[in-house]
Formats: sequence, C-alpha cells, structure tokens
Amino acid sequence: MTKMYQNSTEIMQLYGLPISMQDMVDACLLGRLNLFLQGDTGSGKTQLAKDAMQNFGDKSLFVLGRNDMDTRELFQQINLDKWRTAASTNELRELSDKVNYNMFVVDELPNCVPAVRAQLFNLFDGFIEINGKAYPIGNGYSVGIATGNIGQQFTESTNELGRALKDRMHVTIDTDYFFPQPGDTLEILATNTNPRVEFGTVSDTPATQFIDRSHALAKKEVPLEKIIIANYLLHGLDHCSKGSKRQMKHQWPTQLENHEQGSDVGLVLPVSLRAAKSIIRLSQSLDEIARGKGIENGVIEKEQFNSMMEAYKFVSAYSGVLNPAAVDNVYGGDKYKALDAVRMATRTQFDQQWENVSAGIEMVQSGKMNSRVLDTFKDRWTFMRNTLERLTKNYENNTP
Amino acid sequence: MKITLPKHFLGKSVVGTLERVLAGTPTSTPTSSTTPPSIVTTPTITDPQNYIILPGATHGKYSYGDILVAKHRLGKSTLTELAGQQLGVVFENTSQEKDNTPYIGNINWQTALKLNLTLGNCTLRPRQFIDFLLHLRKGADNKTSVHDGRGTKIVKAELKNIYQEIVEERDPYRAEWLDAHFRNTLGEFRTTTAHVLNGTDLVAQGDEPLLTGYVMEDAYVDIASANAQGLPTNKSRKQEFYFWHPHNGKVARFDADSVRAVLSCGRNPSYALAGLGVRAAREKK
Repeated sequence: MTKMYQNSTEIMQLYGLPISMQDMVDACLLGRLNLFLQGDTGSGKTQLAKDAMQNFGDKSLFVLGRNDMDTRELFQQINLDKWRTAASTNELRELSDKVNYNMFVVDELPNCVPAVRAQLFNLFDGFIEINGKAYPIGNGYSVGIATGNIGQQFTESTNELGRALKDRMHVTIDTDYFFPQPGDTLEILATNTNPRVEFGTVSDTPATQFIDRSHALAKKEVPLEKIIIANYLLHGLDHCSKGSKRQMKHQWPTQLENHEQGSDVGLVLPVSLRAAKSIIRLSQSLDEIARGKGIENGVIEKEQFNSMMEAYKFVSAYSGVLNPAAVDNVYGGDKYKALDAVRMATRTQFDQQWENVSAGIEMVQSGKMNSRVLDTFKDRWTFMRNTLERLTKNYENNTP
Repeated sequence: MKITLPKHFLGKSVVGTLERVLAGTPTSTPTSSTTPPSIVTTPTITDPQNYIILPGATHGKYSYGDILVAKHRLGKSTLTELAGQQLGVVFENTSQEKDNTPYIGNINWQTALKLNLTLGNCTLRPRQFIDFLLHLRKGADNKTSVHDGRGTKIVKAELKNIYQEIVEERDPYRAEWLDAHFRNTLGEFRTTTAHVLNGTDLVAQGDEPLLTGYVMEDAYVDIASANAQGLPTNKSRKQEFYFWHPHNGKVARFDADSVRAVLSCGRNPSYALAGLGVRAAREKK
C-alpha cells in the first residue's frame, strides 16, 4: 500500500505513544465510526481520506460532493440505478444487497444538497432509504469519511448542516489544528509537486481482513471502568445546582450559580447516549491501535482512563456540548483546549472518588448493597448509586 | 448484560477499599458536596528547575520547613487559564521581568492568593519573603549555596539577576503580593496569614496579634532585623529598603521602581496594576 498523506504531528499521546492523524483515521475505521474531516482547503484532508480507502481495496467508493448531484446520480454510482424497475420489496432488497461497498469517502460533503447528503449518511450507516423504507447494504460493515471546510460555526443548532453532521458523524477532527510538520512538508514538496490529490496503489489485502478485525473489536467486552467513565460523562456532567443541565435547556449556562460559571459545570453539557457509545468504541479502537504498536495489555488496562478521555475529546469537540461563549472568552475559541480543561477536571474527580468507586465494586462482588457505600456518592456522583445497584442485581442474577 | 467486575480501578487495586471506606479511613479525599469541582490539578511541580529551595527556618515561635519558591513571578499558562476559569477571572501576562519572562499582573490581593491556591501553590508570607531575599543575596555574594528544585546549585549570576529583579531601583514598576492581612480589632493590631481556599472564599489559618517592637512608622529599615512576622524592628540609614508600616484593613506586598524598594504592609487589597503580580511557592516534600 502506498499512502500519500504525510503528517507526523501528534494529535495525542497514548500510553506513551505518539498517535498521528493516520492512526486516528484507522481507529475510526476499526471502530466503524463515521469521521468528518473539517479543515481549510489544501490541508490534506482529502488525501488522508483517500489513503484510508486502501484498507478496503475495491470495496470503497469515492464521491465528490457537488451541488448539482441528485440522488439518481448517487444511486447510479452505487449501481442502484435499477431500483425504479424493481417491482417488490424483495427485489429492492436484492438490489441493495448487491451494493458491494464497505467504505464511502465523500469529498466536500457540504456541497451536496440535503437529500443527497441524507442518503450519503445512510450509506455510511449501512443502509439505503427508498420510498421511506430502509434497505441494508453490504455485508454488515460500512463506514464513511466526509470532508468539508465549513468554518467553526457548523455545530450551532440553527444550522441544518451542523445538526446533520452532529447526528450522523461520530467523530469530527479539525485538520487545521494538526497541520503537517515542516519536515513533512519538506519531504512532500521535495518528492512531488503535483498539487492534485493522488490515489495510492490499491491494497492486495482484502477488505475482509480489516472488517474481521472491526467485528472482533465490536464483540470484545468493554471494561467496567470505561462504562463508569461513560456514565459519568452522561450523568455526572449533567449535574448542576439547578438539578439537570439537560432539563435547563436553553437556560444553561446563563442561569447557573456564579461559582459554577467558571467550572466545567458552565463549560460543558453532558454527552448524548450515542456520543457515549462512540467514545467507548473509539477508545477501544485506540487501544487496539496501541496494541498493534506493541503496548501490552497490562499497560492498557492500567491507563485506559486516558484513552477514554482522548476519545471523549475527539467525539465531543464539535458535537455542540461546549458553551461557545466560554470557549471564545477563556480558550480563544479553541474547542480542544476547552475539552482539555474538562478532561483535567474529570481526572481530578476520578482521583478523588476512585476509592469510593472501588469500594462500590467490592460491594457488588459481595452481593450485598451497603447504604454507607452508596451514601458516599453525592451530587455529580449520584449516578454511581443507581449504577452500583444495577450491577449488584446483575451480579446476583449471573452468579450460580 | 455481561460485565466483568475488575480487580483494578484507575490502575489501583480495589481490594480492601470497601473495608477502608466503611471504616471511614479512605486514602482519597471525597469531593465536597458544595464546592464546584476544581478544573485545575497540579499535584506536583513539573519544572523544579524553575524553583529555588528556600531552607526551612525558625524565627522565635514561628518555624517552617523547606519551601520551593519560583524564580519568576507567576506567568500565564494553560494551568492559570484553567484556574481563571474556575475563579471566573481571565489571567493575562501584563508585564515582564528584565530577562523578558512575562508575568500575570492586574490582579488584586485576593485574586493573587486565590490563583496560587487554585494551582496548589501558596503565597509567601512577609517573613518567608524576607528570608527568600536574604537567601538570594547571600547566594549572590557567595556566602551560601543556593539550589534549584532539582538540587542543582544555582550560579551566582542568576541569583543576582533574580534578586535584582525584585529589589533593584529601576523602572518599570514591579511588585508582588504577600500573604498577610492586617486589622485593628478593639485597639489590638492583628495579622492574618496562611490563607487557604474554602470553596471560593479565602480563609486565614493564622490569626495573631502583631508582635511588639516593629518599626511603627514609614521609614527606611534593615530587613535583616525583621521579626517572626516579617516586620522590621530596626530603622536603617542605608536607604536600601523602605517600609510601610501596617494599617487597618490593609495587606502586604513588595514593590520596586526607580525610586525605591518597599516592603509595604499598608496596601489596599483591591488595588491592581499591570506590574503587580504574585510568586508561586510550595512546601517542599
């Protein structure tokens, strides 16, 4: 495989390893997470996405987003142009089964009209919608990478495109933040001055190998520590003096108490259930990438908190959970920096509570609820009570 | 659902935690139920080379252990930004030291102390600050060895620069807040110090009457004569350090400009100026 994209900029350090943009793309594909690459024109995002297609050989499709493209043209591209002649649902299903692509790259997605965009998102998620019915495509694995340069404001709820991206793309990375190093551009410029995006050689490795790895990862049991962290992001970050940030709706964050405004209470909303799943999945994939680079399981088990926090950062930065005024005023508009602050606060929270949580785990093992243990969880940690109660019941049911 | 209960959480064994929590002897501190969570955490100093070890000292009934004192006044960093977020203050570098090291200014006394505390630091009391100055001066004069936070001896020239940065009579104006508040209660002058954060409030851990015998007027003083509270007891003809004696409701800071270097104990706590910052210090562990 010849990969053309060159970028040695670290987008994170994980288990002491530098993780690059290419690693992050691989992690998304492994976790079957749709990835949106936001960035300025010529920043290399299209090349990065095209390189990723090599993992799937001829089972990947490149679509250039244009505003004059209609769904008919899109269906032609995926060999579904006969759908109009299909007489029955079964025939449509047969046709959709033959859509033999596992990965879709859509360059300049924002150029597409909403109807085409919706179908592209459907393809990313593994189905096609015809006459209001969803028909699965491929062989159980499909994923999409889209690129676009749509500025910083696209997550605003008033923006239709922003809402669509938030709903359908699991991870968004702003490539401008992770521009290639001067040494990378030196090599790129010295070896090739063709300004066009290039297709690398098609991989001999069948797509099934990659897909099998992805399926195996999806079946892997998620460590309880990661689930507790995800529950904290879902419920712990929802807590505020008014009860629930979710229930405050548009009154968040202006109606918070003064002392909350400067903390993460006023900076970030809880994640959605879908985002929590994406965070776990991305974390698992990042761990798998780290394993592939030689990191031992023991190290990963010990420091998995960090991979969850890295996943949280990249799933959440452009998902609309941040208070835009605070990001602008305190972090100079840098969403990643704002989330680094939340990560630090979260780490402090967990360091302060680890013993209570650990005691809760021991309590579950004992099979007996203990109110004194449950009472240690207050305020944003109240979610642990119900979590531990459910775990205890589950443990009882599964203990012979 | 299939969930395997782990033997470790956050890399630490869960074994024995139930017993400890039930016995009320957890090794970790539970989060306060009323205080909003800290968004800043700095458990250890990551740049000990930028600190000076101030050896512990005893002055009458007052003694303290070794302290790490920053070589420069506190500058803007990601951590100060996070602290600012928690405190609801935007901290900016507003001035710079002679060697071009920028530092945060425009902060009043309360904010300065809170910033240090939020970062896990403390602010030097007048007595400690004077010891710091004397230690620097002795080091610069080759009369003692001064070490950085790694234990490496600091060269004379650097010590001289640090000392001069604080005391030299020159422009621009440089100043830093110290941890002492003075008040007159029913005719008795008292000082509160060793402030800590309780939620978002500063709370003094030390509250004692001022020791008698200090210079009770504004005058040039011999700082080496300072008592256990850092208040000079002897005036000096040598016009090296000026002293503003304590006033009710005022706080301490150290200033220097082209006119003189001043240990001030009569300063308005709400005052803020670009060149007025704070220095980080920590108990050396």
